[in-house]
Amino acid sequence: MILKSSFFVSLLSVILLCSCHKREKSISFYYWKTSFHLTPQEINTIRNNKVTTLYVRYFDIDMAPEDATPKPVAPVTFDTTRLFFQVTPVVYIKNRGFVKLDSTDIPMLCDNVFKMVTAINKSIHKSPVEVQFDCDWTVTTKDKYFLFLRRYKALSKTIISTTIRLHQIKYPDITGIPPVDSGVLMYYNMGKIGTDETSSIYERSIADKYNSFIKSYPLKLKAALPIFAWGQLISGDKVVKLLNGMNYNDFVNDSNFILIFKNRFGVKHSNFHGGYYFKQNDEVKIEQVPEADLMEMIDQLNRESSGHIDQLIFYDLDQSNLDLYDKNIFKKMVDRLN
Amino acid sequence: MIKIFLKRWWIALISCGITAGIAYACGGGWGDEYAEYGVSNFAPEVFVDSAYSPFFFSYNYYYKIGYDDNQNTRFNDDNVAEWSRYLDQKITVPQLHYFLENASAGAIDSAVLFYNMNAKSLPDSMRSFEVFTSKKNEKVTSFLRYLLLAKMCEKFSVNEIADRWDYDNVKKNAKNFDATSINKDLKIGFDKSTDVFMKERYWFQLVRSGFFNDSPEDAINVFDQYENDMPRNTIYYRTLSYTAGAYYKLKNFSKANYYFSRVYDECDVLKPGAHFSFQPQEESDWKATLVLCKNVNEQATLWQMLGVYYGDQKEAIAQIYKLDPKSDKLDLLLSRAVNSYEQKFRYNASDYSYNPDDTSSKNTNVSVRNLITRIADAGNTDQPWVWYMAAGYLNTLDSLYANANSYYAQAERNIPSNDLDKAQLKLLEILNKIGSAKYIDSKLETDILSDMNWLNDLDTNPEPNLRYNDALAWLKQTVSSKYKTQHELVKAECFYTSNLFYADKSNTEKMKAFLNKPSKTPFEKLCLQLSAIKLSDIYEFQAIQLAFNDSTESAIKLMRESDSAANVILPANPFNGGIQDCHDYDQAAPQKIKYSKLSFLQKLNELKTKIAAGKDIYTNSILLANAYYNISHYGNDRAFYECTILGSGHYSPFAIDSIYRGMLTNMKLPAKYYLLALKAAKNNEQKAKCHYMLAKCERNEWYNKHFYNNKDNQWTGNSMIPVSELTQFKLLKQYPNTQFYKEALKECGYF
Repeated sequence: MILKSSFFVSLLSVILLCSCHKREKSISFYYWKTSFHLTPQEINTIRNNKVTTLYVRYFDIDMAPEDATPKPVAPVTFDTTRLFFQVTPVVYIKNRGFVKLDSTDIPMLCDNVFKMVTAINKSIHKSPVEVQFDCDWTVTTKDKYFLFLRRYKALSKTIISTTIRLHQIKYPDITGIPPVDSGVLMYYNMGKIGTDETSSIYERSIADKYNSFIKSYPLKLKAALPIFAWGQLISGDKVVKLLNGMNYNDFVNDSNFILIFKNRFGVKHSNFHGGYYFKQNDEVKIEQVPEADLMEMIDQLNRESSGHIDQLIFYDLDQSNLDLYDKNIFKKMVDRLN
Repeated sequence: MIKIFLKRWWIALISCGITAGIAYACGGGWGDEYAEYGVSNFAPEVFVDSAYSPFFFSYNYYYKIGYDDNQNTRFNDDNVAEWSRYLDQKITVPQLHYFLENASAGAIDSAVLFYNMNAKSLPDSMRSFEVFTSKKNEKVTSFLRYLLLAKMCEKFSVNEIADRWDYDNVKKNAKNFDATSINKDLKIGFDKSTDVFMKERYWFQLVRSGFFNDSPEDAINVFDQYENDMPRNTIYYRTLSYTAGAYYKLKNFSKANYYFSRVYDECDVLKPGAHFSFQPQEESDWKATLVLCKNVNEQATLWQMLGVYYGDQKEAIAQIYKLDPKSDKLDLLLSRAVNSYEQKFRYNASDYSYNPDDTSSKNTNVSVRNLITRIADAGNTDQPWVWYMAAGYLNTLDSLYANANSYYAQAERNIPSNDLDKAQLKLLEILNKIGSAKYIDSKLETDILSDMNWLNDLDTNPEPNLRYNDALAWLKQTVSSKYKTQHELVKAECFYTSNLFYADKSNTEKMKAFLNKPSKTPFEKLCLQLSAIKLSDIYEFQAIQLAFNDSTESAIKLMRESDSAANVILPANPFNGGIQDCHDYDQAAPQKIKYSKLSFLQKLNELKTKIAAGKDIYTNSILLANAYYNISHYGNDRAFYECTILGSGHYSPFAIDSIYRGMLTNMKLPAKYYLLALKAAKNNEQKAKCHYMLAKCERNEWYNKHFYNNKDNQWTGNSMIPVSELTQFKLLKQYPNTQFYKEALKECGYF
């Protein structure tokens, strides 16, 4: 009994002490590839930025129209079990998985997901304290998704977080607030993929429409920020393909392409490049987020979140993305965060 | 208070509407209308080698097969047949299927031991197999020994995951397998084999093991070392595929793609797999692949794969044509180029019509047309008539009818005497003829008559490889629109019906006269045959119009004339009026008397006669009012007005053509008779009921005026009716103590 009381006194002191200190701000990354293998530069990035926990995509869940039940897609495989950091499993659930699913099938789905997450944890000798679900849920799937989250929490007894997209921040009355411990504000993919000059990754004018709602969102939030780039192949006034992982540098010195204006290239001659085929006269639009925009995002988050965001998670940890930025950028950003 | 009552009421209306909508969709929605190749009048089956069928233009991944996903079973029958021949039928075909496809490695192990007299018992499943009691045979020994190793190789080569949620199982499939020992045994088997049949199989296993077990160099070495000793059969090409994959793993993309292209070209059953694996990475490796080719045909194959995989038919055609104008690799690309080009003739989903006049440059890839016409003009391909025909069709599609004509004429001079070929050309010529016609005169009508008869014959005796359905639909619509332009509205209506035509009474009468005309010319007979609207449809339509005009006696006369409609039974009792509008409930309720469209009208007339005679005016007026309410869009018997001309399955008033919407949704007639009943009402119960029913009418009118008047509201949520402003609700509140009021309250919650 005495032991118990003293434990609580100590705990209380720790809590009080913590609250007196300046809030710890941290950096993390999403790891989104299906084969987990870190390059030396990726390892250095984790070390240099004192990343203690990496958010690793474990698998997707999808239920294609022809499927009778949801299925796991492309579970991650690790090239090593010796990871020098903690892992937060992330499970991406395609919203259509919930559209067709019956509420009565949720417990089975929960059991399956729990089983698979546990098996992957075991394979890398980790016991994560948190699981994150990433789903662009809608009004029609809200109830089933939230039921899933509640049940998963009860089953796993771990901290549950979810990604929150900007439209969900703005319309919590309609889309609902997920029954989880915390959320990650996805501060990217805010625009539409299209042939015009706007960026689908980050557009200040679009962010402005949502920013004022961040403060009042009733969940504790972390922020996910984009460091990825991609290209869009435009043919006949339509975006016909996303060129994943391709950036400005991939085209600027290639004589098969000509820079039309700042982020747009024309295809001079039909050719293969980066595993893609480019037809003569097609165009390539590059979307990548310059450092200035990343800093602007931090300023907006400072202004709009009342300094409650304590972690920046960058999407995603990949050699080709790291090559786009100065190696100190992540520290600069987290230092700028209030 | 009132809000909830109305909300529930609205839901009842909406839900009934949804039920009707689904029924409509199932009764012939869009799903079946579209073929996987979109809109097409140009069948690749006519002139392209059927081995290329999976690569015909399709919105699916592969034409007719969707996905190429039978990797684990596609060779089963051939494999069994080959072993059966090799073993001189010493093992029956079903037993071979069992050995090769079902038996476990453990069972085969026991069988090997038994056959070699090292074990006393056989697995139960094989006890009846004669081969184990017959004289020992060396080939059978070789077979069983090989099969044991092959079964063991399935651990890494067969990707069958029983439970996708079982991570350990999934991971096992992705994990390295220690193949040292099995590779050793396979090599011993290879060395010991004295015939090429067995040698080739061991060779295949060794290459495949190298590919799967992260030894791509070994796979390539083994392939190279013995390739020349092997026959060019399916096993050879399977081995070549794994060697290509080994090069891919080593990032030698040029060699990988070169080998994939050879598999694609030389082994039909592996075409889709090789096509799927073909993935040049950079221009340099693609160019290096071209350099590896030993002849023009191999280069043409690579260009064909590029054209198909990356949809650049134009570049591929140009390159192959440059290499060899007579290359048969051009055919598939030509068919895909034309099929892609003709998608400009999409259906217009809003009115299910083509847009034949859309020749805007945006929808026209002129450079493709120019290339195809240039090649056609040169006349030096393997099948010049196909190029003339294609060039003609692209010109037709771009409304360049005179050019098209000259190409079709050249095609006719060169066409083989094959019915399908001729039918294809004829189809395109018909399109060109109708497309080019500025005026439909009697001479053209004679042509149309014969063309339509030909097309209709195709409908009776379909030619599966001819795509004529879109042409037929386009033809009817185009002829109709040309007749409209020249003010021959009845003919226009016969070729392509539009219910707006019947909104004009004089049109209706002209159509009736035409349909009734006793002696018709052959062309008029065709019009009659094509007309979607028959005489009885018009009588029914006119009867409905008259009924909604309160002209019951005339309506009865015309309904009698409509043999197809008069006896159609209405789904609910139209004379009942409920507190709520729930059509499903009303239609499921037991009915003592079932009314047909005709007997319903007769009953209406009877009620009117009684009212006119002053008999029980309240009751008869209420019955009459209920009936008019129920045959409106808001009632339980909207089936009364559903007919060929007005359509059916209207999920909301928005689904009714605007010209008829007023007639079918307005509440004047029910209100007229509810008011008459109110006037004759003798007590508060009756008055409460009348006010309530009138309130329903008033509510519907409010939606007609404030919601359904604006098509922009079609996809928005409901708008709330300002109930306090509705007169009849105010009046209803005068009777709170009546039984009717209480029942309404009970039914609706509160108001």
